[in-house]
Parts: sequence; structure tokens; C-alpha cells
Amino acid sequence: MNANNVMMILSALLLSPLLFGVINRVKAMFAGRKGSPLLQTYFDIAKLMKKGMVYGNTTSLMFQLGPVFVLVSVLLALLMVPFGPIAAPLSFQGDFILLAYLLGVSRFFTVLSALDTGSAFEGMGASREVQFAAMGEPTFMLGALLLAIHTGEMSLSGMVREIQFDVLSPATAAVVLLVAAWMMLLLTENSRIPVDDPNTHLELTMIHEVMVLDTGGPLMGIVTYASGIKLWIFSALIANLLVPTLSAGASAQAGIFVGIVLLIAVAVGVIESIMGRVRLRQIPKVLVGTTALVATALIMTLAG
Amino acid sequence: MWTFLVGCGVIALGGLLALVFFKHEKAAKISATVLTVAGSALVAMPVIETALGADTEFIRLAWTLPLGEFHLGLDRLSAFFALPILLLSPLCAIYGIGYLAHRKGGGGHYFFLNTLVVSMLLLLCAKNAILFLIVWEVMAISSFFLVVFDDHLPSVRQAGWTYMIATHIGVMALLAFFSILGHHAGSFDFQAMLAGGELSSSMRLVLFLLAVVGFGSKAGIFPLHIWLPEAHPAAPSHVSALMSGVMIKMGIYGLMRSLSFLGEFEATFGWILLALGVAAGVVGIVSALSSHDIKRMLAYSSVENIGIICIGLGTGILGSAWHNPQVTALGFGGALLHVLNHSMFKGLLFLTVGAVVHETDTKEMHHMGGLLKKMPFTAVLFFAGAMAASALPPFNGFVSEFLIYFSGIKSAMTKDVSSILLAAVLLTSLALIGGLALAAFTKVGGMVFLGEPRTALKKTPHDPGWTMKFPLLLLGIFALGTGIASPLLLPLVSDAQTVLTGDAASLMALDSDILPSLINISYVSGAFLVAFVILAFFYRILTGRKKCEVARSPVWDCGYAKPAVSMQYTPSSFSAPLVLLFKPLVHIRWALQKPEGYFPKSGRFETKIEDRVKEAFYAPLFRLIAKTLLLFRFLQHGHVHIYVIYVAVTLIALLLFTAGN
Repeated sequence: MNANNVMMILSALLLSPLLFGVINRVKAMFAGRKGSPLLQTYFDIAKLMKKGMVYGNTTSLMFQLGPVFVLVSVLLALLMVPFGPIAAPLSFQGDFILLAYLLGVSRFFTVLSALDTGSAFEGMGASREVQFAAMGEPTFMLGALLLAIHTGEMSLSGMVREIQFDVLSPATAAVVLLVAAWMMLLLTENSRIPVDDPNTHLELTMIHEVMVLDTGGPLMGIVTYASGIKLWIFSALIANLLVPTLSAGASAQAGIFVGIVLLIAVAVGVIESIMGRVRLRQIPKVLVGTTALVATALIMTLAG
Repeated sequence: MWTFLVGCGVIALGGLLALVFFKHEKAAKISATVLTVAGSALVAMPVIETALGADTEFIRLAWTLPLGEFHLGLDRLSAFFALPILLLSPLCAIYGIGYLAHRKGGGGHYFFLNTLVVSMLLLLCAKNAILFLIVWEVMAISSFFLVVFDDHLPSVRQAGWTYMIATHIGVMALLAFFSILGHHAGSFDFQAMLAGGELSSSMRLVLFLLAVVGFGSKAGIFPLHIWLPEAHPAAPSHVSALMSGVMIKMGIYGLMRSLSFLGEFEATFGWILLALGVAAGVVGIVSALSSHDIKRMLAYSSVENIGIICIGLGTGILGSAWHNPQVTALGFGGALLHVLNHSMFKGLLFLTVGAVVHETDTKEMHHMGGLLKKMPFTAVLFFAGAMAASALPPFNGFVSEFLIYFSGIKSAMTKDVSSILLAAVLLTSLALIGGLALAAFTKVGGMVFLGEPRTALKKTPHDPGWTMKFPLLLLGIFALGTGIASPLLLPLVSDAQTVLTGDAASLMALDSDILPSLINISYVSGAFLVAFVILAFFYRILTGRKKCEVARSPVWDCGYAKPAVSMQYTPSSFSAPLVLLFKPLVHIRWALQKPEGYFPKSGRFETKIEDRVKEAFYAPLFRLIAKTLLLFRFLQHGHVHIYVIYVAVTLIALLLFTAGN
């Protein structure tokens, strides 16, 4: 680990709540509102941390420790995400498998803390979460396989380093398809429109929000921060595919990378503003379609 | 090697003592258990030595069987498969003392338990086909008697029959397999079979298919898995743990051993095993997800894990056919490591679930709930097992799946079309299976241990006594320990897989990338625990401050202040959306009686999950067999004098046949 890594990890830790602010500001602009401050999520987390705790009558220790496990697993997953040309602090062959399964750990505990309340709403959300995540899993793995074949590298940082854009080559087209598929994965995994609506007020239709319906105070602060990190991880993965390999200095590269991550948040905001939700029963079809998209990209790599 | 035999003798003696003391339940169980522990310790010495690299030892006894010979040998592969037996058997024996505390028939039960352990150990060392088949049969029969412990229940007898028939269909294929191979080699000795000349390509395919059917019926390879979900719920939990943890792996051992006789591998074998593995993995986990019976769910999860092992084996064979030794070593190594890991976490899961069933007197998930508060020890260990079974770090299930993933990606690196196809199939299926396993295990964990009890129980459940707690704790530590310290386990599989290919090159020599990756994984796993402790401590401080008021209140139910336990989400509603997506794979019978009218009196809703393979394939097949056999009914009429004529005619025919030769 060198100074660049440390700087990038720190920026991820500091800037991840900002992504929500950006998304909400874009949505507000589309709706013709002024919108909440860009730093609103920071204020929320700070306030939640100062509050007291209310636990549900039925809950046990799982409810309290679950979010801590979630935070630990997303933080460790963050260690494996490269920052464009700057390699990740932890990089080894097959690291993307560990990344995927660490996110699995975070899902495992989110679902269990939800089920610990014994509430029908939370059970419903948990059921949806495991369903969509299971259907989305192959998209990530196939995408990583595509990159591995395209670059001949088996670690995320290696892949990003070796990625090349020859204009109008089939391999480039494949990477473009991959970006589209992973964008869909980002929206699914982070419970955004068209899969889930973070702003909905009806418990029956929620996915992620309903799983933390009874979570409050510092616990909710942890959950919010962890979902910020998770959004950062997915945005950074996509940003890595887009960032051109520059011969610029480290700080310039870092700046460009962070800029692209924020642009992805803008894109999420735009998507949320111009799209409606897909019916819950249709979501698995969308996810199978996404996997098919990556499979097509894989075939295109073979042609190239 | 003599230590090995003496150890087996000690375990067998324990079984005999249990029979002698059958009138004194406690003495029978304790003597059998003590001798199992002692015998396992003795056996462990040569096994560990061999597993770590000592030379293969052989023993030939002057004991003539017809066509066979008492020839034993302990090589790397045998020693590797013996490790889980030596870990799980003593623990299951100890667990049984508490589990069967208030039951009769412990003497006979422990006799068969020890016989099963000895037969499995001897099976691994048998170097002669006849001896192998004899201990194979002893293993099948002793496990049959273990399954039908509760033989006063018709459902248990039924399950016992299913198991008996399934295992003997396998033996049929094995007889054919060893006859053909023995005839070709001119001897039933394994070493002769290894050295026994080139087989023709079609003959290899026939032998391979016979081995898959024969050993697959024991291992529960799809579609020969149907006895697992019948036998496991019927058997006592420590028996399920032993059978699912190690006995079905004897099928995998047999398959690996027979692969080594086939000479060069062909790509067809690999594709067949890969396809069977993917099918078993997906069908197994979807069936597990749909099951309401908690032990049936675990049985289907074993089908899924055997599928993952087959995916690893198939990849290994393909690598060998494509002359890619790295992929071969990784695939076989991953499959082997998963054998070891699965025995630990599945043993743990069956034993924790056994404690739950013991306390609640039901196996139906719809009747459970909220057990974490009553049985915290059992619950924590169950969640550990569930994480391992969902292949989540820092537990061991992740490491073996990582090896198999790694083999797939390594093969894609050649950029050959068929190897990329292999990688794509492998990654997609493992990722999907992983996601579904997470759904299945969060369902069981959430519905059984979290929330509130769904029905009132006869007695208040509590954690079991120490004879049952100790095996749980030890297996939990092993499942976590081997997950974190995986680089230390790599040398074991690294060499054991060489037996299959006959090459001397170990995995670690072939692939220098895997060890650094495992070391990194083990750092992250360690960091996971440390970070959790630190953050949990901070959380404790944060909520322990004076200013932070901690209160309790009802959970949110749209303002409804008195949520009832029946309002909780049910296990079947939790899994319904996913199961319905995979509807063709499982058959769900619906029985719905809607409440009708303005003042409805009653309504009923029931779902029953049936195994598609059993319904669509085995049931018609067995009906056909029964119908055909009825045609010969006239031969059996009960007239003894005519039976004597049958005997006489047969004898004369045989005499003439011999004279003619």
C-alpha cells in the first residue's frame, strides 16, 4: 500500500455519502425543485449517530450486530476496488470472486437482521432482496470473466490496467455492453429505480428500505453509511471501465477517476428521473436479460 | 499401516461391546464411543503421516476370498478421504449419547455406527475389487440399519427401503464395472487394473458411465439423488451428519479411484460430469429452497454440494483432456477440498438442526421461530454453518469454491472457444447456485432462529447438554479455522489430486498463483473478524453513552400496535418468488380451499413439494418393472414339490454345461 492507495481509500470513505446527495440533487433539478443540500446524507448520519436507540420487542442480538457485519464486509470489499490507473490496496488473482462474496456476506446479514424483527413487511423485503440478488450474481461473474479474457489478467487492478480501447473493435463494443449490464447491476444491488424506489412511502412495494424499517439511531447511521460505500464500490467498478489510461500525474488521474464516479451518480439520478419502476414480477426477466447481455459481450470478445 | 488396522479393530471392538452391553444402554453407548475416539486417534497417526507425504504402505494378508485377496494400501487419496471420517465419526458418536439419552435400542445402534465407520475406513484402503465390494456392502447395510432407527414409523421404513433399493442399483453397476475391468486386467487387484493396458475408447466410455451410476447412486449425483431427501429426515441427526458428511463422499472417492483406472481422460467425460454437476447444483438448491422440512432441506443442500464437487471434477477432467495441467490440478484440488469442507459444515448443520428437532419435536419450519433467544449457542453455530454452506468468507465453504472458480478462469485464459465455454458455464452456474444457497440458508436461519415462535411448543426449548454442545463447538471452530487457515490445507489437496492423473506434479508446483491468492483471502478473513470486534466495540460504546437512551417498542406494522406471531412472514412465502421462477424443476402441489361467503367458516391452504425426478422418471420406471415382473408370477405358486423340480433341472443343466466345456 502506498500513499496513492491511502489517498484513494480515504476519498472513497469520505465521498461515498456524497453520491446520494448528487443523485437527489439531479432528481430535484429534473422535478423543478431546489432539492436538499448536497451534503444532506452527512448531516443525516451525524444526527443519527447522536440519537438514542429503539429496538423492536421481538429482536435479538442479530438485529444489533447485523449492520456491523454489513459495514465490515463492504469496507473490506472496498479494499479490492481499483481506482482507475491506481491499483487497489489489495490485489490478487481472483480477487473479484472475494469481492462478490463479501458483498454476499453483507446481504446475508442485512436479510437476517430484517427477519429478526419478525415483521411481515421486513420478511417481504428480505425475500425480494435474496431473489433479485441471486438473479444478478451471474452478471457480475460473467462480466469479470469477459474482462479477464479481454486483458489476460485475473485481478481487478490488472484488468483495469490492461484494458484497451481500440476504436471500433469488437472488444470495445463488448466493454460498452458490459458497462450497460453493470449499470443495471448497480441499480439492482443498490435498490434504485427501476428495481426499487428509495423514496417510496408504501412499505408493501419497498425492497431495501423495508428491510431497515425498524432500524433507527446509530444503527441506521451505520446502515446508511454502508449503503453509501456499496454504491461507491459499484460506481467505481463501472468508472474503471470508462477511465482512459492517461499519462497524467497521480493527482490528475485520481481527480478524473473521482469525477467519473460522481458522473455515474448523475447518470443514476437521470435514470431515476426519466424512468418508472418495473413491476416486481418482471425484474427477474430484466436480470436474466442483463446476464444475456454480458453473454453476448463475451461472444463478441471471441470474435475480436 | 498396522496401526491403521489396529485402530479399525479397536473401533470394531467398540461396536461389539455395545452389543454385549445392549441391556445397559448407557454402558453400551459410552464403551462404543470411547473406543471410537481411541480407535480414530490410532488410525489418525498413519493417515496424517500419509496425507502429509509419507510413502504409500501396503498390506497383503494370507486370507483367500474367492477371486479376491485381503490387500490394503494407504495412499494420498485414501488418506485425504479418511480425514473427515476421523473428525466426524467420534463427534457423531459423542453427540449420539445425548441425542439418544431417553431412547431404547442404543446398543444395536452403536454396533452399526461403529461398523459403518470401520467399513468406510477399510473401503478407502481396499486394493482389491472383491474386498472393496464386500466392505461397500457392509457400509450400505450398516447405514441402512442406522437410518431405520425409528422403525416403528411407516415413513421411516419407507425411507429405508428407498435407500436400500437406490444403493443396490448402484452395486449392480459396480459389479459390471469391476467385472469388465477385472477381465481386461486379468486380475481384481487395483494395481493390476492401474497397469492393465490400453482400453478402447468406447470401452472407456462404458466404464465411465458405469462408475458414474454405481458410485453416483451412493454420492447422490443427479439424477440418482432421490434417496437423500428421504433417508436424511428419517435418520437420527448424528446419523444424517455422518452419512451426509462422509458416507456419500465414499461415492466420490470411488468415482475418483475408478477414474484413475481409465487411463487418459476424454473431454466427453468432463462435459458429462460438468452437466450433471450443474444440474445437481441448481436442482438441489432450488429443491432445498422449496423444502419446509428442515432436514430435507439440508439433504437437498448436500445434493447441491455434490453437484459443486462434480463441477470441479468435470473441470479437472476437461483440463486433462486439453493438456492443461494447471486447470486439472485446480479442478481436482477444488473438488477434494470441497469434500473436506462440506463434511465439516454439513456435519455441523445436521448436528445443530438435530438439537433443534430434539428440543421442538418437529422438523417443520412453519412451526418454528425465535429459537435464537432460547438456544443461543445452537443458533450461533447454525449461522456459522449456514455461512459456510452459502460459500461466504471467512468460512471454509468459500475457499473450495474459490479454487473451482479459479480453475474455470484459468482455463479461459487459453482463449480457446471450448475452454471459454467451460468457464462461462462454470462461473454462471456457481454464481447462481451461490445466490440461491444464500436465499435458502437465510430462509432456514431466519425462520427457525429469528422472529417469534410460530406455534406453541410443548416444552420450553433450551440449548442441549455438553455431549451435544461439544461436537457443535469443535465443528464450528474447524469450519472457521480451515476457512482462515486455508493456505495450510493446500498442501493436502495439492498432492492428493496427483493420484487421479498419475502425474507426480502437485498443484502448488503447477500453479504458483493459487497460494498467494489463498494467503490474501486468509488475511481478509482474519481482518474480517478483527474489524468486526473493533466496530462492535465502538457500537457498544456509542449506544452505551449516558446520552443515548435505549428503548424497546413493538415493530412497525402500519400503526398496528399488537402484531401477532401469525402475521410473520412464513418460510414458504419467503421462498415462493424464487421457487416459482424455477417452477419446471420442482413440482408444487397446491391444495386451496378459499374461505367463501360473508361469514366464512374455514379456509385451508397447503403446499407439498414433490421431487420432479422421482415423479416423472422413477415412479413410471418402477411401475413398468413391477408390471413386467408380474408376467413371471406363474413360476411362483407355492407348490414345494415343483420347486424341487426347478432345483433338479437347474443342477442337471449346470452339469451338462460343465461337461460340455
